[in-house]
Amino acid sequence: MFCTDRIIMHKLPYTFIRQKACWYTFTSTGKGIIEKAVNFTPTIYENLFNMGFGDLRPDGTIDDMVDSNNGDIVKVMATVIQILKAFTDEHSHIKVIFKGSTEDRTMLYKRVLKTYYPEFSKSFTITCLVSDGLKFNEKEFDPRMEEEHFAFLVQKNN
Amino acid sequence: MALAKRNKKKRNSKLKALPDIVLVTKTIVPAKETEKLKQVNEMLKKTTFLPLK
Repeated sequence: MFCTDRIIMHKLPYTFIRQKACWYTFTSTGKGIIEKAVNFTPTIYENLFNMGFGDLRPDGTIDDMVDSNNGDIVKVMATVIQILKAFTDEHSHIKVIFKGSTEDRTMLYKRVLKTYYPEFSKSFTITCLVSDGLKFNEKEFDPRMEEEHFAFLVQKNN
Repeated sequence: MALAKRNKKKRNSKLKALPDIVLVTKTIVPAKETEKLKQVNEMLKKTTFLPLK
């Protein structure tokens, strides 16, 4: 997975469908066929939305804990990035926060951001949340930073 | 007939008792908060954000 970081940048994403204003789905066709979903939900702060991502359950909710291991993580990540771009293109005033449901996933998102940083930083402001033990502080994302990140925030530049 | 008249009078007097201006308050029902969203919101409550540009 680590040696494929460069491949992410050039991997064609899956075709996705915008089901509702804040809800997107796509089909992962690796070893099996898995419906995936990305949604954006408002947080307690105005214009700050949380991005959720995972497998689409039959009841319409997202399972972000399952490790589907469908063999196409690179393409899936490329698709999630395209969805994030599409959402923020339409809602440039909205800041999006995302964090992994597990530490491993947060690490994966960090690696993806590091890889995409040269391209992303041209049109997006990327920040992250770090902790001092009791509270969290928002900092500008530095791809060279080795500090533990708890969440990432992305907003389209004006 | 007299009964109908009396009932009509009662209805009209009730209508007159209503205020001219009726305040309508809109209750916004928040979206169902998932466990994950709860965690994110809890984290955000403890967060110091960078100043807006």
